[in-house]
Amino acid sequence: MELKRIRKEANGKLILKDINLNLHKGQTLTVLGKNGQGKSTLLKLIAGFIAPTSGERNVLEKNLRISYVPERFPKLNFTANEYLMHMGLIYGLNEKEIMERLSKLYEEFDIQSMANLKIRDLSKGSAQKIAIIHALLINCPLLILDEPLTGQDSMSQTTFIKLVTNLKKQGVTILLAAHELHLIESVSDRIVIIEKGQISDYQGDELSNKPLMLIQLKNMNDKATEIIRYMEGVVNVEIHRQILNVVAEKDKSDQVVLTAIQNGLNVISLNEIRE
Amino acid sequence: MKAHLKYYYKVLVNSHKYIAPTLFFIIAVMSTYLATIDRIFYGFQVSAIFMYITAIWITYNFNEIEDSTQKQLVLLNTNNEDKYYIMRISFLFIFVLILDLISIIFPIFIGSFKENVNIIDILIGFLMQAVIGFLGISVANFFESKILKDRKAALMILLLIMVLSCIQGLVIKDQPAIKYVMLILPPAYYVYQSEGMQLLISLGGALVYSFILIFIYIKLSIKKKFW
Repeated sequence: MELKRIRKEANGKLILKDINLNLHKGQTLTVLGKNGQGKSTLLKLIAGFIAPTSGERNVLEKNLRISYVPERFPKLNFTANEYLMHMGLIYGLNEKEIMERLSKLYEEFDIQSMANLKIRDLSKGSAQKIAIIHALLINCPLLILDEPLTGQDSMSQTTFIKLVTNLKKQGVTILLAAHELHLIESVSDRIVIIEKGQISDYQGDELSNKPLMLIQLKNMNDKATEIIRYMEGVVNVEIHRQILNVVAEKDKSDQVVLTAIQNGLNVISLNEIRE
Repeated sequence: MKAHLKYYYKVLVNSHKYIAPTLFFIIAVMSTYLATIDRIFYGFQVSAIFMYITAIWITYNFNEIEDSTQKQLVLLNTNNEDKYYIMRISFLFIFVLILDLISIIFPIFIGSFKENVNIIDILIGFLMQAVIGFLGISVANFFESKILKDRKAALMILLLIMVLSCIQGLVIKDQPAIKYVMLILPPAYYVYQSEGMQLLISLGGALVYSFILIFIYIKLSIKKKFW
């Protein structure tokens, strides 16, 4: 898909200004930006929900199917199961396929117990999981996600990142709006920042000058390792002779240590490796 | 198509927004036919007005049930904007046809008519109410909040159009100077007031009018999208 000189105005306000963006097949493109800068508008425009005031939105792949995860999932008077079944049928899947896919997805996101609850009664994080499951259920070549990690616990964030990694391997094109740079940086092929309706490439290499700590942990387990790997401020995680070596930013190291202890690990040492 | 209809049925039922217009229609029809009717056609003309009002009411309610995010998600799943809007309209029309059937069967069942009812009477009555119901759907679609941002204004204008289109012919007789303005309105009056050959012409005209409105509505919706 390509966007050329896209401009979007609404209610007398300029929301997007001269946006030029190419979305390549198989690419994972992340859009960063503070609230109110135009991220959601950009994503909705790419999804085709809204029309630009001027400029072109060219879809280069014929009959491109798009999955979309909104920032706020509507409070529906359906159970998760009912809703997802309806959406799958509308998409064109049969009941058996839907049930099989849902079964796997419920397990991955650990929400089997919520499947028969009304979506309007779920927490924001749980409702967002349903939104993500909906998008993954129909599994389109282009997946657009508007702040999918907001309101999710660290386990779910980890699950989500793993899923994105798997989808990348399958060649799915992913467009993602997020705040959690530390999580999505590793899966993004390109990161752009949107500010006051204009985009620019993210040039950040801010980690290179921050003081770092080496945290050595024992009694490691897979679950704890994964949680720590995706924590904010964690630069590197390596296992060497049954010891987990974690390199993290100094100002985040306390949080890493606390999380490690809470997940059953013992701290062997904590040393600064760069000032 | 079945998947869409099942979904919209669930949406409507879960919202409970079908209850008031359906109750209105049933009570109105029952009130009409609990007294014995001399002429069959007169009964159907009266219930046609109620059908028009109900069709407008249920369409307005239906368009306001889902929020725009949910509509966007269903649109994406459908992957065809024309199909998406046609499915919504088809669902509403099926709802109208069910009410149509009730209004035809009920008076026959309770023996409301002095005259003997024949198949032609039934077909004409059914067709008249189906067409006027379809007209109501095509009019009310323009007044959803996606197209007209101000809901109160949308409702007021819709009510005004509904009332004027029901008394259109009377207004024109009384005020011929505004004939050409009044003729722009949905031809509901001419549907329920006509008989014989005039009715067939009115039904044809109303159908054409409805299809034009629906065509414009779909094109406008696709162009304007959700913003």
